[in-house]
Order: sequence, then C-alpha cells, then structure tokens
Amino acid sequence: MLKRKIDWDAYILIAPAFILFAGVMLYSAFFTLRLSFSSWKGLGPIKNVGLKNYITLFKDPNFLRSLRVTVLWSLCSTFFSVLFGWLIALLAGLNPNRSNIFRLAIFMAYGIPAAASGIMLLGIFQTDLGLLNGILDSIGLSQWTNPWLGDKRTAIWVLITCFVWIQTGLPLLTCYAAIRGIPVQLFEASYIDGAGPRDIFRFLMIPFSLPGVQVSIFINLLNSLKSFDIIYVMTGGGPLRSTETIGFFMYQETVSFFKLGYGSASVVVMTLFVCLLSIPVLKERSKAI
Amino acid sequence: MRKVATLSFVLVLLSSSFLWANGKKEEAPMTTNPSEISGELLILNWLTGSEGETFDAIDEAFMAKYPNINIKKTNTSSGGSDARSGIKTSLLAGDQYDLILNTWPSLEAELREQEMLLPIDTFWDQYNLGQYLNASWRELGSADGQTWAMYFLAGNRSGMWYSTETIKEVGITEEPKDWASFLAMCAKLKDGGYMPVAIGAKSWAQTEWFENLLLKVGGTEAAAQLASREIPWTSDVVVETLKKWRELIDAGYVDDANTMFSNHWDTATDAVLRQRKSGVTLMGSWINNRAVGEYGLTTGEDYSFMQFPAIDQAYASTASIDGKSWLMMSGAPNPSAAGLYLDFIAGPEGSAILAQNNFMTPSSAAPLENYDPVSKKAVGLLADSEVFFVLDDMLMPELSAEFRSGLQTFLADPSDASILAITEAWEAKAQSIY
Repeated sequence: MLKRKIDWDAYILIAPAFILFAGVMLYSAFFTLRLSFSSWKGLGPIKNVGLKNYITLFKDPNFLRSLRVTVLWSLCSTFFSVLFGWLIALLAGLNPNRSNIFRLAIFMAYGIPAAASGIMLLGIFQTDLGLLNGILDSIGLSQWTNPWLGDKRTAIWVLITCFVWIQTGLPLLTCYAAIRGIPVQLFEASYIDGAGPRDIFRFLMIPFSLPGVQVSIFINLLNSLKSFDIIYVMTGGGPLRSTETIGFFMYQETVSFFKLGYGSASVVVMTLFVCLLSIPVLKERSKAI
Repeated sequence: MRKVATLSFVLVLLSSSFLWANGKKEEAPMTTNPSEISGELLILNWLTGSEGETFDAIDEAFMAKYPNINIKKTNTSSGGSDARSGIKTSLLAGDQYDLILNTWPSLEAELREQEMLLPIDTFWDQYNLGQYLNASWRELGSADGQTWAMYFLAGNRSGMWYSTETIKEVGITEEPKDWASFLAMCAKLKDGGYMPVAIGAKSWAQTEWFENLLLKVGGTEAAAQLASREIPWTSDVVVETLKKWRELIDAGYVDDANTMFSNHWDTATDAVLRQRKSGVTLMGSWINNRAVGEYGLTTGEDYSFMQFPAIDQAYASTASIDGKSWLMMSGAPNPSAAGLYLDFIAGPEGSAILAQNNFMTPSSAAPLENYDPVSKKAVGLLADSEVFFVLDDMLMPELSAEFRSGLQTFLADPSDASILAITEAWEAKAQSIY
C-alpha cells in the first residue's frame, strides 16, 4: 500500500489564515461561551456562576420583551424586503436594459451602512422638522402628523419600514441574477409553444427566481436578527424600550452595563437561534449544489 | 514554494515581536521638580466639540510651558452616548494611562474598588493644590481618607434656559423664584402660544427634572440618602417629587409624552432658543456654548437662564451640579508628569483658558472677568448654593437605565398607580444591584 505523502507546504501556507481565524473567531467564541457561565464586570476577577445567567435571562422581562420584538422585527422586515425585492426583480427582468438605473438606485441603499441610513431617515421621521410631517402639514393633513419615533405604537413600524428599504437591495440582486440565469432557449421555446407574457411570467420567471428568494430569505433573516445599528441611531431602543431587539439587549447589557457574563449568555442564546435557522437552510443549499 | 512559506513565517514572527516590543512602556520615576520631568503623558479623554477644543488649547499651553513633556491623548468618544463603556473597554484591553477624565462618581468608585487608581494626596500637598481648590472640592474627590479625584470643572444643572425675546413677548418681567410664580409664568407662556416647558425625554434629559424637583422637595439630604440607599426608592419624598412634576403635565405645560420621547435635549434646546416654540428648557451649562457657537446668539442679550424655582423654602438654595475630574491610574507610566498637569489645570494658566471658554472651574485662580455674563451669573449662583452632584451620574448604569425608562413611563402615565409601579421597579432594581 502506498503511504500518502503529507504536503507540509500546504499546511504552512494555510497556517497564517488559520491562526488568524482561530485567534479572532474561535478564541472569541469560546471566551464568550465561558463568560456566559460567569459574572464579570470587566475590571475585577471573573466569578463562575454556573447556569445562573441563563436562568435569569429567561425570567428577565426586558429580555423576553426583546425576544418578542425580535420575532416581529425579523419576520416583518424579512417578509417585506424579500417580497419587494422579488417583485422588483421580476419586473426588472421583463426589460433588463431599461431597468439598470432603477436597480442600481434600489441596491445602493443596501450598500450604505445602516447607521448612516438611520441618520438620513431620521430627517424623514423627526417630529418637528421631519419630511413626512412637513408633507402632511403642507397638504392639509396636519391631523395625521405624529411623533413617529416617539410613539410606542408607530416606532417599531417606522423602523421596520426603514430596514425594509435598506434590505430590499439584496433580494433584488439575487432574484434578478436567478432570472437572468434562465436560458434564452427556454423563453424562445415557450413563445413557440404559444405561451403568452402572463404564462412566461407565471411558469418560467417565478419558478426560476425562487432559488434567489430562498437565499435572500436566509441572508435577510440573519441580518435582521443581528441588527442593532439602525435601532440605536433612530430610537435608542425606545420609546419605553419598545424597539429593543435581542441585538440591542446584547449591546445594552455588555457595552452599557458592562455585565459581560450576562450579556454573553444573551449572545449564546442569539447564536443558537441563528444556528437553528441556518443549519436547515445550509443543508438544503448543500443538497442543491 | 517552501522558501515562500518560510519567508512568510519569518515575517509573521518579526511583526509580532515588533508589536509586542512597542506595547511595552517604561515607567518613569516619581518627582515634583518640573525640570526633571519629561516623557510622554498619556491621557484618556472623551470630550469632543467645543469642550474637546478647549482641552486641545490647554494641552498646547501645557506643552509650550513644559517642552520636555509630550501629551498623547486618546479619545474614547466611540463609547456612544455614555463614554463609560468606551473608558472601560479601553482599560479592559489593557491600555495604560496616566490620567483619565471622569464625570461619574460611580465609575470612580468602581475603579477604586479594583485598585486601578492612585491616590493624589502627595501631589495635592506638594503642589499645594488647596490654594486653588477649597476643602469641599477635595472632599468631593475623597474616599476612605484619601484623595482620588481632582475636580476642575463644575456645571450648573439647575438652569432653565430661555430666549429673552420670548419672555419679553409674553410680558414676564421677573424670573420666577418659587413654584407658584413658575406656574404663573408657564400660564403666560401658554397664553402667548408657546409650549411652556420643553423636555427631550428620548434618552436621559428627563432625569434633570426629577433631580431638581427632588432637591427642592427634599433637599440635598434626601438626594444623598437615595443615592447611598439609606432610603428606598419607594420613599414618600420620591413619590411627592413625581406628584409635583405631575402638576406640569396635568396643566398641559409640557408636550404630550410621544413628542417628548421623540426629542432629545438638543431638540428641546433648539425649540427654545432657535425655533422659539417653547418657553424654557432645563439643561446643563453647556447650553451657553451651544447658543453662541451653533445658534449664533449673543450671551446675556438673546438668552439667559433662571435658576430652578424653590418649592419648599427650606431647600430654596439647593442646586444640582455636574463636575469633571482627573483620576490618576495606579499603573500610570509617568505619574510625575500627571501631577504637573493637575497643577497646571487647577492653577492660573489652565483656569484662565477654561474661564475664557466659559467652562466654570471651581479653581479660585480663575479670573472672573474672563467669563461671559451668563457664566458669571452661574458662578455667582453656585457660590451661594447648597449643591448636590447629578444623581443619574452617581447610579450604576443598570439602575440609571431603569431610572430613565421609569421616568419615561411616568411621563406617559403619571397616575398614582403608575407612580407606585415605577418606584417599586426602581427599588427592585436597586436591591438587585447593591
């Protein structure tokens, strides 16, 4: 039997990348896991507390509220951003050449950091000097003006709207790519067989764009689960903590309160959440490949 | 290929050694003879804007006087709205500083408990800092019989800012001194088409109202007892304070809760001094620089402030203050330079720069003529007041967050039942922390 030769050059070449990955990702992940079983304010010694952080976490009304907000936030923002992105991609797919600028304009929002977008969008939803209230005032609908971000009933929906605007670009891109991947021969064959534009749309473009929808649901859902920056900039988690998501809760506990152990426990729960969502989708994608 | 791999390894090793070697700092021996002091002075600051520029001016003047010392400043303003997180993150990362700028007594206590601070009594005595800062200021920075902080900036947090034009327009000729005359002023403002009081309750500015009302209802003693947990948050004095605030809400002298939640302190100040839609806003002394720098107003002519009105005459002279202090780190690489810097800031040169930029300093070396009329008024008022440090800054961040959100809940629902629930939630949080 031939003895397999070990290619040391290959190991040496991947070593720097592996060391960097291990140092930055794996070490941080294990340290976070370790911290989640401890109480640490950052400046003193680390005290082990066992499962106390996890038990407290699931009794903490602020965490439970942030869980509820996160579910609403993630489902709504993912559903609407993917729906709009998909519909726009289908429309753009009907005439690719004439939709270049249109697609670029929508995708650009995805490229802007969420914090910067949040500051821009504040200009629309501010109470006194905001564009929305200004327009309502100017067209005689003053009774509809509202402190959009200060009202507990509207703040979360305003945030979702803004996040949908930011996130629509990605489904547009993936779905459009899927549509553009449809072989021209299929269109030609369909037309020869007597299919009309509606049939082409229904039986060709929609089914072929679904892999793009699948990918974008996955990515947008993960983005929404970990989103923090736009919430921090636009509402700071308020009013009355009504827009605090798990991402915001994690920030608050670890960065503001410096409860590193407790904050780490929420990070672990969040990571488990993300894994639960990701693994089936990744498996599905692997099968497809 | 093998040569390339080996070369990569050598490069990685070399760069690691370089980074490690540069991370090490040598400690300088301690001395108070200025001619013997040299090297780098590492300062952790978090101020930006006009405050940051004032410190740049101070640092430049210091380095001009002591050319052997080079100030290396790190700004942790990336800590968001609360710079404590930035400071802690930096310390957690193992960064070494000689001096840290601080404004939170709770952070000072935390650092002291972790033995991260160096007492500054030696410098205080050797540089005779007592000639500039009186015993009460030293006391403010002392604990367990040692001095840990040198307060060099003070701010009045009991000032209600107004536009002189607005006040004149509604026929107010005198600043109200008590609660009844304040309510009468509010009525006039409301009749004149102004929202009498602007409160930006998006984050923390609502706490200013609670704290000032508490001082006027229960005095500095009640505030101190609350801060030190000698009385619970469910005490009568706390309930009475909230009920007094409710009078403004019930009379419609503040915006609706949703509008207050959508505004921050700066929006509220804009509404009073720039847009002139509201009558007064309760905020710290930094409004003075904002009014001049950002609104282009003339100090003392276009705007001024009135001190928070008395409620119980026994506590009429109470005032809320903030303060900024320097803390020296126990691992300070250059404590001698840090001591010299403290002397410079508290002394005539540093104080003159602070006063010139209208930052109130408790140093007696500050030339009063350097202040503008509004700052001069604040200095005069504070000199005659019984002062108490901002309560929100004395609380642990977690309790502070509960305190702030509880006050938001109060603004949305100031009923008796709500007050009871809020005060109970504060007490429960306090018990879980302390």
